Amino acid sequence: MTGFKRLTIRAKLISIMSFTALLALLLASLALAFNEYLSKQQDTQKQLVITGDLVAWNAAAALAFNDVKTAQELLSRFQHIPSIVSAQLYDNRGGLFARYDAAAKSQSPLEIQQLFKLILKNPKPSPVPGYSDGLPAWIQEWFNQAASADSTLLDSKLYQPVLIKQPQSIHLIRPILLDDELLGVLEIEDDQSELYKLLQRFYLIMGLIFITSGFAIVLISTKLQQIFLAPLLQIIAAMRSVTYQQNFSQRISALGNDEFTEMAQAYNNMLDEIQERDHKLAKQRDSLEIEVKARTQELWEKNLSLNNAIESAISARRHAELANQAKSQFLATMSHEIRTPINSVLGMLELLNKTTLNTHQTDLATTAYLSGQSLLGVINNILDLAKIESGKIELNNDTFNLRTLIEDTVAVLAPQAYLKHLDFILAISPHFQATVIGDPERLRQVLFNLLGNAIKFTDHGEVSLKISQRQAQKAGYVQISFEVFDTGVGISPDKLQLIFDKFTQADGTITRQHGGSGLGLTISKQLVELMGGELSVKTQPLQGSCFYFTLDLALVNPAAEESSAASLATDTAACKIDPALIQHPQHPQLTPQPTSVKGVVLLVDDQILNQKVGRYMLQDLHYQVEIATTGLQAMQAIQNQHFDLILMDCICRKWTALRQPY
Amino acid sequence: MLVAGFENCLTQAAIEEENLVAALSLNIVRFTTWPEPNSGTFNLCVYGDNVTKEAFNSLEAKPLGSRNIHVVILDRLIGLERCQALYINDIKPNLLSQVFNELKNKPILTLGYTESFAENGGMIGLRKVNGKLTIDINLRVTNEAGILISSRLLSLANIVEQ
Repeated sequence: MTGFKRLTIRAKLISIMSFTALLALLLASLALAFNEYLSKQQDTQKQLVITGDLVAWNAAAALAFNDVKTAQELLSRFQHIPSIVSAQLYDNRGGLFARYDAAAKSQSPLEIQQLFKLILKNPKPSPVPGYSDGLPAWIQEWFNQAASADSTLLDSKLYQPVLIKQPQSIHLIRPILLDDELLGVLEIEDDQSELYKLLQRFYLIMGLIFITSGFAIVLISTKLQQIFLAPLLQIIAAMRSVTYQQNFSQRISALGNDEFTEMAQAYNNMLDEIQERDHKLAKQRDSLEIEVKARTQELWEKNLSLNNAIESAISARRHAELANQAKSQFLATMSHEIRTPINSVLGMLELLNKTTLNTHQTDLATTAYLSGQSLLGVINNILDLAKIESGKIELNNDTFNLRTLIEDTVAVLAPQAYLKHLDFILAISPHFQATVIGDPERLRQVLFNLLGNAIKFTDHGEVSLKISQRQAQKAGYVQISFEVFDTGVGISPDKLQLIFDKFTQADGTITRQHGGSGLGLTISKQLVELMGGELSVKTQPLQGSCFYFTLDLALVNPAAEESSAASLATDTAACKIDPALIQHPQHPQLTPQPTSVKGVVLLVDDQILNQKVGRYMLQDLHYQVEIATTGLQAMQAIQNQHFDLILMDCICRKWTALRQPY
Repeated sequence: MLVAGFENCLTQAAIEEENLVAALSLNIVRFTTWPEPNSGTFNLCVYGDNVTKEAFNSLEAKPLGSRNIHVVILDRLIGLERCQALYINDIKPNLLSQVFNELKNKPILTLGYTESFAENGGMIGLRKVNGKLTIDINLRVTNEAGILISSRLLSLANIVEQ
């Protein structure tokens, strides 16, 4: 079957059609041949039986009347029937009565006694020797029926005619009866070779027909398969031309009106689709190429201009850097050149003031001196910044007392705070003593800037400097934190990043209102960084600000300072003022000395610092002082005690002095 | 056996000859058809000497078509109407003519083993020619009596004229 699967459709079609037709032909031929064989044989047998009947009927009288001559004449008639080879007529005693031999060669297959036994009717007929041995029972039955078909002529209860079939002949053994009395037996041998010849001829013709038909069938099948295959081959050829020659334009022409045409039509449609798609693809490819080229060109141009831009940017930056450096260089070198004449001017003005001048002249000289001082400050700032930026600044390593430096700085600024009616507070431990190595001038400059700014931007309230000390991580060093606190305008968060920039103040209007170059914070920040710290700020707009930084300073005599540093390890949370540390810079050495009391004074003020200033000043004048923070507290105090004098702040929370009943 | 050695019958005894005649008579009867329907017994009447009677007695109850033969031995030639066949032997010629006359046009087959039996008005006569029994048949008489003789028998017999 796999062999058959490998065949081409053409071979399959031919073989299927041929096989079917040939099988039908073969079956028909076989049926015909078999039928022919049977009917011919039956005809022969019938003929033989009829002949036997006729002869037997005629021979009966001859036997009855013992007329051998007539019997012999009768038998000699067989010469007209060529197929009958021999005939014997026996009388009822078994004697040969008459005989006929066509070729004088016949030999009866049976003894006469056997013949008599055969013709006797038995309930169980003895098997006929030499005949139908090995044939199936039903075929024997069928043949026996065929053989005894004409025995109805012989109406006998005792005897029966018998046919014995041999390969080449049939023997008819027929009893001759007269009124059921056996007169004799007739045996006729019929030669079957004639029949076989006939059959052979028939088979030959059948065979010829079979072979001719076979050829015809194969021929017709070969022609018929073309009905199916011709369109198929045409389609295959078209497909091949597409495959091998890439010829998409080839179409299958109209074939007819069957399924192959539909297939061809579908194939044509498919080719149309492919061709159309190819066209589209080619078009798209072309346009894509053009576009790619255009884009590439564009990119190239852009790249070029970008390179130019980068180059120009780089050169511009280089120019800018050079210019900046040149500027810084210029400013740094100009420092000396500018300061020298100004110092001369100031010196001259100072000398002038010491000479004898009238009031008007003194006033003029003093104003000129102050203006010169101011100019010198601005110029110093600008030059410092320039120095810092150009990297030309160098810190000194001097030994100095930190406390002295802080107190001196505060003392210098205290008059300004006083002028603005501000509480100016230095929060420093009384035990704080530190002799350190560093640049005292620069540290002073930073503190001066920060405190000056705080005073400048605070209209009321207080400005304080808190100093706290901690042990540094490095041995021989002390960590000092500086916190400058004010209750001024504060800085809005969006300006917070700008305040350390050059020439910037939180608000442009502030410069006009308060003056200043706007360089102070920038310089301070850079100086703190140079000293190894970092300047930070915490602020709340309209509430106040706190600038703070921490420095690690080398101690001159570490062992002596160690204990005081340890005892001072306090809460370092930035920008919280511990009231216990408060000192009044104006009167650092002032301590109350109670003597005889002149009277009792009630001091009402909501500012703690004011309360303290008042208390110290009054105690110094030998008064007993009671403090009330609010008007309510003052009322309660009055009810409880007698006071000689009540001093009240004119602006006080919870009832001001103006509204007091006294 | 009733029939034995036809060839030697001329030299056999008279009994054997009569046996043969009886057998032949039976065969002749079997080749003959009567006009009336063949029902009842078939009476084969025999008139003759003792040897003849003895020979024909052996035919008693022999089958004849659907019937059986009943042999009737006649001592006198009377009551012949009951016979279907009549074998006559050893009779004077004038008496025989009288019998033939009496049986004229009657369907009774007459058989005889005497000279010129058929020529004298009998139906079937047997005679010996060269030691062989031959059959003579008077067709005119049989036709007049309505008795049909089978052509098979006729082909073997001599047809005689009266």
